[in-house]
Amino acid sequence: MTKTVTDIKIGFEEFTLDNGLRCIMHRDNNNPIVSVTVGYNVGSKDEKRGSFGIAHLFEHMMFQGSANVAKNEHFGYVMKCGGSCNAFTMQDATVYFDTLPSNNLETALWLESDRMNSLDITHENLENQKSVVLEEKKQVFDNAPYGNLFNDIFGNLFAGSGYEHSVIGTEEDIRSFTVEGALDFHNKFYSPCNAILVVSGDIDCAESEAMIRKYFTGLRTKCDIPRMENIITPLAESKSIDRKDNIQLPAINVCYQIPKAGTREAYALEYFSEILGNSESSRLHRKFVYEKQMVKAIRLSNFTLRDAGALVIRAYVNPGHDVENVRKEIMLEVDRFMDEGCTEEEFERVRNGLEFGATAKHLKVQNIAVETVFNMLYFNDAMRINEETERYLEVERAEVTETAQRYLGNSNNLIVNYTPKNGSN
Amino acid sequence: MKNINILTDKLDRSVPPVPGLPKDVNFPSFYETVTSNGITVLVIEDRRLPLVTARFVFKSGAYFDFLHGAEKSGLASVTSEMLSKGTALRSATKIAEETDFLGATLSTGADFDASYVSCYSLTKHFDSIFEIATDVIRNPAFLEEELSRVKEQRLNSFLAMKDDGDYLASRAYKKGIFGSNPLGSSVDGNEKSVSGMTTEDLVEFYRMHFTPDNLIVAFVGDISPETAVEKLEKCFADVKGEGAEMQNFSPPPLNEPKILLTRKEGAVQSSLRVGHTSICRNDPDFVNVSVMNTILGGYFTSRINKNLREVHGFTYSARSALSSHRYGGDLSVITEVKTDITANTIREILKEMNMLRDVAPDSEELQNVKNFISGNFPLQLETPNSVATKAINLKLFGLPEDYYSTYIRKVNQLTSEEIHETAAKYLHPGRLVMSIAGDVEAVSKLVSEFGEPEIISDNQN
Repeated sequence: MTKTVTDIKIGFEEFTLDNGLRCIMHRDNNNPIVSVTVGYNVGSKDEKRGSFGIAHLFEHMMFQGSANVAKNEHFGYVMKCGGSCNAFTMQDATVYFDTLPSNNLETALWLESDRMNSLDITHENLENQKSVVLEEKKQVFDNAPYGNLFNDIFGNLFAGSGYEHSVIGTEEDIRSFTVEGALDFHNKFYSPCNAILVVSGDIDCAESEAMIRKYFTGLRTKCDIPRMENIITPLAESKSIDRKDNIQLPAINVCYQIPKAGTREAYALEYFSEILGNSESSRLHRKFVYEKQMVKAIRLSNFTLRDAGALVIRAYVNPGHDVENVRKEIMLEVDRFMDEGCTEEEFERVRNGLEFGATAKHLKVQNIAVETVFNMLYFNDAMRINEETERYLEVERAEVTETAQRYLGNSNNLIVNYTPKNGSN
Repeated sequence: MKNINILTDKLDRSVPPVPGLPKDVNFPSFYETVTSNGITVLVIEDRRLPLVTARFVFKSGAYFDFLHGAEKSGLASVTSEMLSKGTALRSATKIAEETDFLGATLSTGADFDASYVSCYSLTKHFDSIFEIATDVIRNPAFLEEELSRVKEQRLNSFLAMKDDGDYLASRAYKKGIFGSNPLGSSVDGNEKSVSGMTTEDLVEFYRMHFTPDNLIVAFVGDISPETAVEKLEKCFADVKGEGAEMQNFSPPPLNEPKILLTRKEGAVQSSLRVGHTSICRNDPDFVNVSVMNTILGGYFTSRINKNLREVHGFTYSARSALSSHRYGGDLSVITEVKTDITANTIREILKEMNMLRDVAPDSEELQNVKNFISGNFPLQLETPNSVATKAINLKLFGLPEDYYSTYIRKVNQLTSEEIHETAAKYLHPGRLVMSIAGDVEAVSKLVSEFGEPEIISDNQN
């Protein structure tokens, strides 16, 4: 069979400063836009008991002022030139990005270097961001239907590891965070040698490199980053959890531990998920949403983290259908896949979809920058962005079945059932 | 307390760098023509990646649901959803299978102003996906069996949304400001209207609105204007028919003030939507009102977000939105806050609105907003599809041809006094509909200082 790998390659220039900061540049002069992205190798898995939520709260504090930039002025400088900036915290990383008209590149580098080196944290700003984060926790999790599902999933699937607690953390821990604690966190983790800087877009590489060196070379580094071992234990037995929530439709969630990001198995299991769910012609959608109308929606999601992964089958049960029965029927289909595997047509469909997706996602310089940050943090390899499609295409049909059998068919799983509080269903 | 690590260089970091000269940003030119049967064709050619999109835009959306009967809310949306659920040549499952096999996307939908079909694929599959898109647009079967599936799906979605605070607040708010105007209904319809929908309704909506003279087709990406027009002529040249003559519907009047409370079980926050009716998209004052709204709550460093999030820590996010359609619009503040500070939040919103009406913004604040809008413009033009959206808007809303090419200049010409006048004319803090979804008992006690609250029953749509 002829491979249909797209031949568009994304080019990079790389260098490392003496203080350990790894810098990557990608030039694309089509639009007068540049994206500056800084990824720190710290996330919620690095939090100690009693300080759950600190990595994320700290992300908010990074906008509260540094030696030469006043509170909220980071936003101010970026907005004033029409740019946008934001940040996100995950289990394994914290990522900050600024996308701006390209004539403002130096401003973004100045801002990012200042907060990498120096933070100005007041008690008042900290208390203010604690309430913002507690409202975020309510809005995104506590007040949202099925909002705390992933606490149950990660809490049980990865018990005893750094992935057990949620990124948002607990109210108690968030409230207890102190100014001293914030400064300590900054000292420990926000160091050039623990970061990746990516500049992507309308740049001249020589000029940009000079600018990066100007602002980042002088930052001192401490490289004794404290790391806890992240030990992932397979589920000792299958487990079922029942939750009542303010919802109308019951939800069935079947969860498995799967291999970590970047492994051949992780790519093979993407095929599994796409063959079973996520498009109209996928098996589970066709059978349960379209033909039997038993569920409102069914999704298979693969969360691949640095040290482990989770595969979650989520189905929202329509009124008038027995939840237990729907679950059994879904599992029969999963089992059938283990026995029979997939057809050549199903396999080809997923390959075509993956090829399209891999081409379409590189339209924006910011997407390229963020993906590069992860490739550097996880694999120390920026060029991996160009191998993504090939890695998918290398997977063979029989391998999908074998991998699914190994990690799903013969393993323990976790089931999380959500039922309506009012019991009307 | 500062955590300042010792620097090993002598760079003066106290002075922000001076930005280089901004590059000229021009709205990209695009190809445009009208076919002999009245279809407007736009081609936004961009050969960087082997991707092509075709976007079909019929200039009739949910606003026109009411033309087909009093209880037809959701008709435009159901009609477009049903296009891909079976044609004279293909069953629903065949359409899904063929599309998915190409690794392409075929999507349909409607909003208040238009009904949409679009297809997106790698260049090598574009002929095939375009053929499927042509089939669903030209030959929809509107089968009874498929309609009942779509209805069932939708009714279950309405059910699921009953626990979404923002949705509940928004639904009551729209009804509150627009009343019986079509904009007060939901694009998706409601339980009653969707339950009663028939294939005859769909066929009628289709026949009246899916006509060539009502159609804009935008081709985007790796395709030349010649190829695009040739393709369209080949597949659509024989389509006849004219849409029904539309009168010019007048915008809804300024609403009366109201406080509307909707129950959300187990709420730990209040979802707020506070606003009033506003201008249409093609209003000559649109740019002025839009800049004024940006100052109020249209970007992160706006007054509303600064006040509610950064000063008070009431919320994770707060913003204001100017939402303008062809025949009406509204301006509202949107946020979610802890239940016990619901009234404090409303007081701050009122304060910010009054402030903008009473005092002209200082020149620094205005300059910051101008810089934000000007600098943000190239970010909005990064992908060919985002350029296409703007090109389509020119046609859909009947905007002046030079709207986007003169936009930045117009924004930069605005004075503080003009913003002040705009706020005085277009902000009405005394006429706000305050819609809150959350803990009704707790909130009704808190908000009585603003007026008598009205409790929205669960089954209202």
